[in-house]
Amino acid sequence: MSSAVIRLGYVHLRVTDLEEAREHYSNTLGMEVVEEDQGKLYLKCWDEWDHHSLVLEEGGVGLVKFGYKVESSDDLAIFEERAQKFGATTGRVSAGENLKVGEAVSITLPSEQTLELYTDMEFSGTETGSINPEAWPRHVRGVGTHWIDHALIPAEDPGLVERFMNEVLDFKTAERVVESMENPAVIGSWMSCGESPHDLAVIKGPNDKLHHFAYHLEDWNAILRAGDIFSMDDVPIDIGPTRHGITRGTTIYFFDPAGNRNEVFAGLGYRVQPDFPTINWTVDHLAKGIFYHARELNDAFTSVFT
Amino acid sequence: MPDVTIRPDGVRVTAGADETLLGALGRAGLRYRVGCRRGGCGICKVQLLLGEVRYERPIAASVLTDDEQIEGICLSCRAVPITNIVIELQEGDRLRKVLGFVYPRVAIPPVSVEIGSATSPKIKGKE
Repeated sequence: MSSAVIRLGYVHLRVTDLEEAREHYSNTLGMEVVEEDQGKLYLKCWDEWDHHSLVLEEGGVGLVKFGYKVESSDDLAIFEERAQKFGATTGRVSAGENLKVGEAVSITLPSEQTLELYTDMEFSGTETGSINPEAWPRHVRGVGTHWIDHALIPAEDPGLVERFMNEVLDFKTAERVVESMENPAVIGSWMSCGESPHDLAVIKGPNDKLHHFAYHLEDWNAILRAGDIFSMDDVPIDIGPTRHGITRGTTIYFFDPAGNRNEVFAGLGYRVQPDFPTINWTVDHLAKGIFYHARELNDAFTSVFT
Repeated sequence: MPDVTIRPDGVRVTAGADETLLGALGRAGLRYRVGCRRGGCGICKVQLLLGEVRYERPIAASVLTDDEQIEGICLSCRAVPITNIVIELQEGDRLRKVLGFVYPRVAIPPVSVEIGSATSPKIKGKE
């Protein structure tokens, strides 16, 4: 069964300096600032049709919350009830409390991050529109990210978060890292609500933190070009350009001016159809699963969270 | 231009105007444990043994606590020395040298360390 969750709709992030963040997300990555309200910046990518996909708030670093869009208010009620039965704390967020967003169900994950489910966000259309569109907008700046694609969160008990996402939100596990095939304790899980290899991933680490969120780019050439722009703009690169063994995506990890990790990600490695056989990686192959070429983890991958 | 001495190696580099500790060490080809390099993760903390640093950018309290500051811990990717300083890397970390062929005088292991005009540790300018 596929999930009534559609996608990662928005990420709400803390940054230490709003103007530096504006420069990074708007000029380096190419998002458009669509609204400024009460000290918050709202941004979207050119290929996104809802009002915004990123909210930036000054003060501190890390994740405030993220929002996943779901199909209907009936689904909201079902997910809310299932989350409560699972033992999670939930709450209702009134329409408008999140700018341009309808009523939402707020869920505290077993790993303590706040995930909000909502059905409506003001529609504003993509830059290229929906009638006889051009392939891409000529005026796009910098990297020209297409859309926010997925997030990776750390969790003290990644197996519990996987079970929550599977049972409560109908996410399907596309790939998983286990101790060994004999001892299938979950170290990490890449989960899908549609056909993309992951809409949310979880890996062992501290609760209530963010590892990264990622932007979709068209292909490997676009990843290379993004890397060039990061050098021009002195953006610290964590790793890449390289490929992930897990998801087969091509990637660069890099940091925003507050130290939050971003990713540019390309390549729909495969389609997660309802009968897709979950791929298992054993922990002795974890490094190859994460960084397919280097085949070793850097210090930062397992230690840098915001 | 303030000198930065790194213990226990005793290696000394000179920081440029408004240059961070990470910037000064990096320019001399010295590597050590760092994370985001943007003040967000706290991986690059070092112990400030002598001297003063300041922060030109806001530092999140979740990254560097007041208690840590009192203990003389500083965030090397953001800390700018304003006097000669002496720092020590975190336990288990060590300096690696990637520009030895360019800067042979930044020697590991070093000659003896002089503290010069350094004073006891102080940190200024953190919000």
